[in-house]
Amino acid sequence: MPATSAATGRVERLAYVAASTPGRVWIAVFSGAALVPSLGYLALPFALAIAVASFRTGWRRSIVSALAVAVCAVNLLPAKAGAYGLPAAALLLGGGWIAGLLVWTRLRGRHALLVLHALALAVLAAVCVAAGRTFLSGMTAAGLCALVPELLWRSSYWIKWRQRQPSRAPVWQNLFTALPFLGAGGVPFGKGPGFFAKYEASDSKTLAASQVEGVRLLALALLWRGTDAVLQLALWGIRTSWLGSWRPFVRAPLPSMEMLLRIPASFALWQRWGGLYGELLHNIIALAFYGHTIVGIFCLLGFRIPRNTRAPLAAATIVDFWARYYFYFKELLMDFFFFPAFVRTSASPVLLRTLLATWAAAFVGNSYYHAALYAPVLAGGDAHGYRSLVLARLVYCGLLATGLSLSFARALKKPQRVRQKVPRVPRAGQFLLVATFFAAIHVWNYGGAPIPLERRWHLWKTLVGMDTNIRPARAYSGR
Amino acid sequence: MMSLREDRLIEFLRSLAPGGDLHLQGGRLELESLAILQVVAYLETHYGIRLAELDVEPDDLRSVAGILALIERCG
Repeated sequence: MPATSAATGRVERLAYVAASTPGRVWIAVFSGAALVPSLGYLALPFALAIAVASFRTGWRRSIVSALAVAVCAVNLLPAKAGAYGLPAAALLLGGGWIAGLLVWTRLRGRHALLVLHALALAVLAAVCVAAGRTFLSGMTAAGLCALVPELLWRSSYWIKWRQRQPSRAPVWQNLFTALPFLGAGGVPFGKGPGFFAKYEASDSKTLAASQVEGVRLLALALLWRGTDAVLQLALWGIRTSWLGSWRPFVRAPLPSMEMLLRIPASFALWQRWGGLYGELLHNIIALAFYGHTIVGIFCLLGFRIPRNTRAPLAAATIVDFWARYYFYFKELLMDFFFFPAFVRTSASPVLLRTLLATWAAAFVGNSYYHAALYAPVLAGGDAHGYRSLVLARLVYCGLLATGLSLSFARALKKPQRVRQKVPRVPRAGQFLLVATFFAAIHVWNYGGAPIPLERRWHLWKTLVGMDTNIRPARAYSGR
Repeated sequence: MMSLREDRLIEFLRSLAPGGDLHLQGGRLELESLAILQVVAYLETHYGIRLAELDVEPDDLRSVAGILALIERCG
C-alpha cells in the first residue's frame, strides 16, 4: 500500500474513533490536561467548551463566543490585571471599543478601516499624554496601550468581513473573532469571521477530522515545549520550570543573546554565530508551541484553520521561510498592506509592483504594527526606550524587506513553467543562507525591553570580525 | 464538461502550484504570496480585470471557484 493512502487510512480510523462518544470524552479530557501548562486553571473552561461543542455542534459558535467573553472577563480581574485601576479602565476602553465597532460597522461608514486606525492612534496618543497624572497611573496607561493593538487588528478583520455582509449579520456567533481571548500581541489567529467560516466543520466527520488535528497539534506543542526546555538547558544552561531540578552536566557552550549584546568580544567568532543560530532555533520552537496550542484549540472547537508554523527550517528561500515561520502575521501584512499595494499599482511592471508591495508590507506594515505594540513602553514614561525599540525595528524591517525583495525578484526571473515541488529537506547551501539571514537580522528584532541601539550595531560588527574592542555595556533591562 | 476558459485557468494555476499539483482542500488552493500576485497579473492581462476597483481579498483568489466567480462578475 502506498505511504500516502496508508496515512489517509490511519487518519480516517482515528476520525472514526474521535466521532464516537468515548472518543469525544477522551478528547475533552486530553485537551484539559494538555492545556494546563499553557493556560493553568483556565484549561478547565476550555476543556468544557470543547466537550459541549463536540456534542452540541449547533451551539458551537455561541459556546466559543461565551468562552471568549468569560476569558476576557477573567483576565480583567484585579489579581490578573496586576495594576490598580486597570480593570475598570480596560473594561471601559475594551467594552466601548467593541460596542462602537458593532454599531459603527452596522452603519457602514466609508473609509472605515482608515477611521479605525486613526482612532486607535488617537487613543494611544491620548493615553500616553495622560499617563502619569493623578487619574491615570503609568502602569494603568501601559495596560491600556497594550489592549489597543489586541483589539485593532481583530477589529480590522471584522470591518472587512462586515462590509461584505448583508445589512443583518450574526454578531454573537462571530463575536469570538473580535475578542482577544487567546494569545498575545494582537495577531488574530484565524483572521476574521469569513476565514473561520471557510474552515468550520460542517458535519460529524469533518468535526472528528478537525479534532484529530487538534489533538495532534496539542501533543506537538507539548513535545516542542519539552524540546525547547532541553535546548535552553543544553545551549545556555537556562533551567526552565519544565526541567525541574535538572542541572546542565556541561558548561553552557554558547552565549545567550543577552550576553552577546553585553560582551560580544568575550566570545570566539564561532560562539557568536552559534549563539545567534541557537536563538533562531529557540524562537522557531517557541513560536511553534505557542501557535500549535492556539490553532489546536480552534481545531478542537471545530475550526480546522491552517497551522501558524509549518517547518520553517525546510524553507529553501527567504520568502518561503517568511511564509512558514509566522503564517498569521504574514497574512495580516498580506491582507492589509501587500495585496492592496499590489492591486493599486496595476500600471507598473510586475517586478516593480512586487517590490513596492513587499516594502509596503515588510517595512511599512511591520514597522507600524510594532510601533503600536511598543506603545506601553512610551506610556510607562520611557520615551528613550521607545525610540530605541522603534529605530531597531526600522532597521530590522528594512533588512527583512531587502531580503524578501531579492528573494521575490529571483523567483520572478525564473521561467514560467510547472514549479518543482519543494523538497522536504532543502540543500545545505540554501538552508545555511536562509538561516544565516534570519539569524543575523534577529539582532535587530531581539528583546521586548529597550536595548541601546549601539549594542546591536556593535554585535553586528563583531559578527564579521570588526570592532571587537567594545566599551562595557550600559545596563538595560532585558531577558 | 469544463469550458475552454476554465481549462486555461486551471492550466495556469497548475503552473503556479508546486509540482503542478493543485492541492484542493474543499475547493481551496494552497497558493503562496507570489502565486497570488501572479494570479492578479494574469487576470489583469487576460481579462482586463482591475482588482483595485473591486472588493476583492487575497482569500478570494485561493479557490478555482472564487477566481471563476470573479471573472464572471466582470463579464
